[in-house]
Amino acid sequence: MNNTLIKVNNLVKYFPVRRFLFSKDYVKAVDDVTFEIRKGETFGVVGESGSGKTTLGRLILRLIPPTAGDVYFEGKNVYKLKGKELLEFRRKAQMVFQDPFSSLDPRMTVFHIIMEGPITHGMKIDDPEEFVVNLLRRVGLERIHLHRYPHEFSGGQKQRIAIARALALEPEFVVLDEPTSALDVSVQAQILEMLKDLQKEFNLTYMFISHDLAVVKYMSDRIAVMYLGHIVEIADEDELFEKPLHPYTRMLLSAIPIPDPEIARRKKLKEEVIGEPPSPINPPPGCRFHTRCPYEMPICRYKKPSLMEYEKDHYVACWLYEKE
Amino acid sequence: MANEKILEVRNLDVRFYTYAGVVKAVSNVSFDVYKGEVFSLVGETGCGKTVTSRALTRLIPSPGQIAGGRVLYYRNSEYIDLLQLSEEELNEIRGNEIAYIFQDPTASLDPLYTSGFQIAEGIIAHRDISLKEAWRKAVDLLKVVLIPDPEERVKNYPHEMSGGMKQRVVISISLANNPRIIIADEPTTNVDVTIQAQLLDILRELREKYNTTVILITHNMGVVAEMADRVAVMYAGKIVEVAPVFEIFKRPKHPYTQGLLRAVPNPLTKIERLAHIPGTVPNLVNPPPGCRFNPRCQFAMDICKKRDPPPIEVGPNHIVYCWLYEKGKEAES
Repeated sequence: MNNTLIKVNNLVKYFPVRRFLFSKDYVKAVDDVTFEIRKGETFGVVGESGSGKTTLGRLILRLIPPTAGDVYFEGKNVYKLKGKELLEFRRKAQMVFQDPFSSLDPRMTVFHIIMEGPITHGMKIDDPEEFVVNLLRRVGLERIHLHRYPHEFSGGQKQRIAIARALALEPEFVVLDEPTSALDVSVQAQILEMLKDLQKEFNLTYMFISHDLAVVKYMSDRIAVMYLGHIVEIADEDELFEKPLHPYTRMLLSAIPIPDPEIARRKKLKEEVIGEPPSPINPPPGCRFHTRCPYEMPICRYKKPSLMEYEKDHYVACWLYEKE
Repeated sequence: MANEKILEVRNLDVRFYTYAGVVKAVSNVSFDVYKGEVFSLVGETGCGKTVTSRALTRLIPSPGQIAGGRVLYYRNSEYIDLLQLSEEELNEIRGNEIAYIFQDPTASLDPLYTSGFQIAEGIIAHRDISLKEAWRKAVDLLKVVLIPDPEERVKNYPHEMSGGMKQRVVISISLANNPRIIIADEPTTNVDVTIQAQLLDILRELREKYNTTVILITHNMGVVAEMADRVAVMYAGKIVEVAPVFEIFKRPKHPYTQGLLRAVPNPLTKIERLAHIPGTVPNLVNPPPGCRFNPRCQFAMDICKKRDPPPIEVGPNHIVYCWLYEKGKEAES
């Protein structure tokens, strides 16, 4: 298969935190993560707070430097890009952030917010005003919004502006970092539908990051589950929900409240949900989930299981499934 | 479920007097809560669910004011209007008979005191016991909310605990005096799903064990489906529909409830498209006349723009505020 758009190899990111005067500890935000994103798909990343999903998104876009590892975009190492090539990558790979209240400059009008990117990249645009209005229409806004400031908009509208800003550069790849978690459900539904339409229209590849499993499932083709900096499972969206392998995935699935009272009250017996995620500063050795895992074995405590293909396109990192 | 009423809210009206004008945050809200049930108030941001819950014991800060209505609290086969009580009388009830769990545990706990002290404080305020005894009771309460190693945890300050732990402490504070009603305002919104599942389990167990009445305020339809016995859906400061939980999910009547349910992705089903409600929530300084949902409603009729819909009974215990279900609507409009 040669439709890989992004390849992530053994990516690591540690953030140093000062403990005492001279000793240093590290937050192991992303620790040895390997996967691929295929052209045209939506790759979902789900995990609880502190699992490293946002850091992963920022690493892939080279918004922060990695501690180790590589990311390849269209076959080129992202961290080795320079000059023109880097600028081109910056145009092709965009991000929509979680909080639209802080990702838009309050002192710029919508027109300037959206045109800033194309001007920086020297894109040839004959009629900037028409260009911006067209983009605004695509995200459900109007010409009258052109010269307004961010504070005049609701949260959902701000997120639409952030999406229009990303689209202005004609990107190929967009990282959507919790784009709807600050919004109400009825607005969330509008934004999710729009994102799906835009993906078809512009042939976009998405990396969709969220803590909300239901939303990730609705949006994604394939889903990676993260726990404390590790990817514990990758599978197709329906496969992951029908045949979850990793004990953590199962725990997550039984923890989500189902918006249907009959099912919600029947499911009680599944996986028991216990414990809290440990701190990502000095996380547990071996499999990081072993402190909460009901199937913990001695090996889990000292040796990290690697992500292996258990069935076709279904990857899991767990000693329970190690074949020998 | 016994049909013994514990709370009767009638025509509750809460307004906020701001520079931009009078915000009619809660208008003409009426509902009953029965003993031992989980009654859930659901709605989106700004619909007035939190304001309603706080108005029940007059916890409305200035510039807000309760402009009208009654909150009848039933106890020992008589009732009292909580809105008419003096501040001292109300303090006897708050935290003792009616306790709150707020959304943000970091804001509910005082960073300068240990968790044990904060639990004991609430007990001493209402009972004539020593700090030592209250402290022992605090340890027991932490056991009830399944905090591991409670003897050590009572000595912890809030910053030494995780968000989930803090919310457990807040829950145990609310339990300290065996309240008859617990008002839980988005108790799990700030925590991860696995922690949420554990907290909901605790609330469920407590309610079975002590037959406590729970008023659960949330925006999460999944949480409603798991927890509630009866549900009131709020929109723009008004209740639009009240029904038992199965009715709400199986036979929602109000166009807003229908839209809301269709907008929530269900992880167990294959959804081709999520339906969404067009438009945005109205400004409550100048709410639309008539039914407040009419500008966004695809079934809006003339009468919806003129007159407030009355409560209409469409099934057993199922009340909807919508002109669509009024029998003689054609004649009137």
